[in-house]
Amino acid sequence: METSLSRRAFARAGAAALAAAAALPTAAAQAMPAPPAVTAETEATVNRILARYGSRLTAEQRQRLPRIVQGHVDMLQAVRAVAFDNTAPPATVLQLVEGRRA
Amino acid sequence: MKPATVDEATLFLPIRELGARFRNRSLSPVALTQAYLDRCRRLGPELNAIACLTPERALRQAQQAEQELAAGHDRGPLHGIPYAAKDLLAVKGYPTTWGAKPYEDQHFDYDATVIRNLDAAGAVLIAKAAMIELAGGLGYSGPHASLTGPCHNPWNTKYWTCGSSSGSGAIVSAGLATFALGSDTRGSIVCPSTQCGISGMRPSFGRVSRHGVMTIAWTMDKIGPMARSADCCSLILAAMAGHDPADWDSLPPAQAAFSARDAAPRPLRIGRLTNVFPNAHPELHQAVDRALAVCRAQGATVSDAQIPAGPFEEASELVILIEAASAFRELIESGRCALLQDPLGQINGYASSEFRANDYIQLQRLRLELARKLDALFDHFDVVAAPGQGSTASLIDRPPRPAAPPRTPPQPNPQRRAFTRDSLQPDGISSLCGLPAVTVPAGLAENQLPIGIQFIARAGHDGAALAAARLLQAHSDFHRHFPPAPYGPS
Repeated sequence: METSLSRRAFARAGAAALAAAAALPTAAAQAMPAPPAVTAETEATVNRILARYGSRLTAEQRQRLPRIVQGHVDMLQAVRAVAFDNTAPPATVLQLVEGRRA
Repeated sequence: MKPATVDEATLFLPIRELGARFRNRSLSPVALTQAYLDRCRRLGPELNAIACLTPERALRQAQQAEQELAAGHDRGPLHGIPYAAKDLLAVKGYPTTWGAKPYEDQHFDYDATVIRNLDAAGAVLIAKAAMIELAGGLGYSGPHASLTGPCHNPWNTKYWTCGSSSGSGAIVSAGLATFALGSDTRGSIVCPSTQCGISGMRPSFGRVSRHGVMTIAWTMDKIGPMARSADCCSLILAAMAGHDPADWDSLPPAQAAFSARDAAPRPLRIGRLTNVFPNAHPELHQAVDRALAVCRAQGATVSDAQIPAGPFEEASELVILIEAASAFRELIESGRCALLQDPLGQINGYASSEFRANDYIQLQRLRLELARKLDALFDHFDVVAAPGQGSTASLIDRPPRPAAPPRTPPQPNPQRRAFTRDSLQPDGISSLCGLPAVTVPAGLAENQLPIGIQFIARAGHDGAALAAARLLQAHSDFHRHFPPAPYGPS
């Protein structure tokens, strides 16, 4: 596991945090970061999205898409870097259904 | 029994004070409800705070409360108290728009469980509160991402309330209702409560039912109160909380129930988080330290604490993105996401639909690891404290963004500009791990906008977070400051 979350590490995730901003765009987050370089994973993901939904997107939206996807990929890299033992479980459990069908 | 008019100051009183006046018959629930409705009609549109009013329902409930109290049938502290509910809670007979154009005509033929719980407690629903579209579930760029327009902060209407419970924050701050309900996936109660200068609470995950509530992320969504004080929040939480078989993630009955009379830990052990919001203006941290000095003077112990290391901000964002892509799958697949106001929200769902299952499982493994580390912190503290936010409210109209840059080739960019967002926020990890948090006012900044302090407690220990905030408020008056007129009392 990473020992700390450095400014630089989070900078890698900056564009994505903007893209996500699911609940909280702060004043600082409102500044648009410089365009990130896109990785091969981003390139492939963008191509899949364009193949599937490209006809719906405007030129401006197509132009914006790589930055959004690269942000996602940057965040994923930080998460993927954490190593776990085989038995380390996820925070997901199967709740047994015993007549609870509401 | 009823005064002809309700003076403005009454609209800013806390729940217990209003209840005392109901019971000594110096104030009528009907008169109070009518006064709030009038104020909502007058000031609500200026603030873009209201999605819709519910006057017929409100007056019916207020009349019932008045009759019941007169007959000695007392439902408890919320009996006759007017409130607003964020417009992602289903209320039969009224639209539930989720703040978004694609759902502007949506109606449900039932009430959300929390609405029913508050009905049973005798509370009076007067309005649905404006909100950021889909509570930001598909991402958003700022205040304009709302069906009702940007919500203005009552402390200074050039500024935003923060989101996504934007209307709920403005309504309480401006005295349009005694309290409001918000939802918090990652900061959507804490941020607007802090920046509107009110008290707000994110309960422990699973304590309050989400049945009848729009989903962003099943494993992170919480519903909570926004009110005048931590004491008010505790009274509201006691009425809202409880096991609900209709919410799959609802805690078992013994864990879900909450009593406002829960004993506070003594002496209260407070950890001052020293590794959060490193780039916040010093006055925000100074305000927290002043507030903690008040707690220390009342017998609390205060010592330094640090949130554990790890990519928790990334993890919380990713969990939200992935679960939201599933929750809003129909909206995305149909292409109706193009109807959203925010340019980011219009396309972010397409990108979020491309995550891999393997990455989601990795996130959930990381989440458990982080939750265990965070839990260990509470072996030493009852609560940890930090600024409510890393900044005061932001301007609604900021300089326009530059045009989108051309697509760059796939090569490393060592010159990538540093991102300016505060990386070490307590919101991400505490939301990811389902911990309760209470934010309360801690003064005003030089720009005369509110500053807050938040107390975060161990999962399930909502009473500890409330106890810390109540201790502060019992010995300070930060929470008795209101916006300038016309949004505060004249």
